[in-house]
Amino acid sequence: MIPQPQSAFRALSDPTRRDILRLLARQDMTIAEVTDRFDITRPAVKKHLTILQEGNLIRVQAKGRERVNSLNPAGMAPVLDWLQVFDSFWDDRLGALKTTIEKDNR
Amino acid sequence: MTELTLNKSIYLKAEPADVWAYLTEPAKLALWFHAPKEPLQQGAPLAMYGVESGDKLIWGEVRLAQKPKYLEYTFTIKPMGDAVSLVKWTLTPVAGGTRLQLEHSGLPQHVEAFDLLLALDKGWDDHIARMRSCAHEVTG
Repeated sequence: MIPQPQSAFRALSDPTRRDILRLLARQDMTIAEVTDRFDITRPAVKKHLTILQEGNLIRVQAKGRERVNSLNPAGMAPVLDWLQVFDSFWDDRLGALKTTIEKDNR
Repeated sequence: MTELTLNKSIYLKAEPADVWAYLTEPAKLALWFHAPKEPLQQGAPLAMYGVESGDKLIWGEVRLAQKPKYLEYTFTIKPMGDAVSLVKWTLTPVAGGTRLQLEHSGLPQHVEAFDLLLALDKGWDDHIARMRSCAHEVTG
């Protein structure tokens, strides 16, 4: 399980998944309806939707035999929390700086 | 919109002048951050590019560069929309090296802008991918 916001960033890192989110921002859709909008296979669409669900960016609800996908706006919050994003970012970068500079200055 | 400030501090086994080079020189910045095409100089524009994508990822202006004590620049990335944040580096000599302090201010919190998020481009994808893998590179 990848922690937030990394899983959300992973979900957003693919242009097809961003296009799917744009569609779902307008209306809820089944896998078949999403597949109809793209020139990719149903299994590929299903995989994209799974990654979006893991990123907490969409919700998937069973309605009869269908699985309906809808946008989860609340899932965007961790991604837009720039304090959290940059807290991790600077920790990583400063760690890299310390490693690099102290290796070079031995 | 609420603005937030982030503060970090680390100790480095290197003189302030050496640390300064890692904050301002393209070849040394590329080792741990992103690479500008020119050394960071007071009053000059700041632009940093993805090592792999070549896309401009970070931009701003170097407001103050007081070698080897203090560096300040504005810092913007595309997914932050029009929000301009401010990065301040303070270098203090200590026994055995340098204390490096970072202050990153003007960070927007919980921007309610879905379109802003969906404006993520290839350059930011690259940036995020590198950000995620950085910890593995450092600890690996």
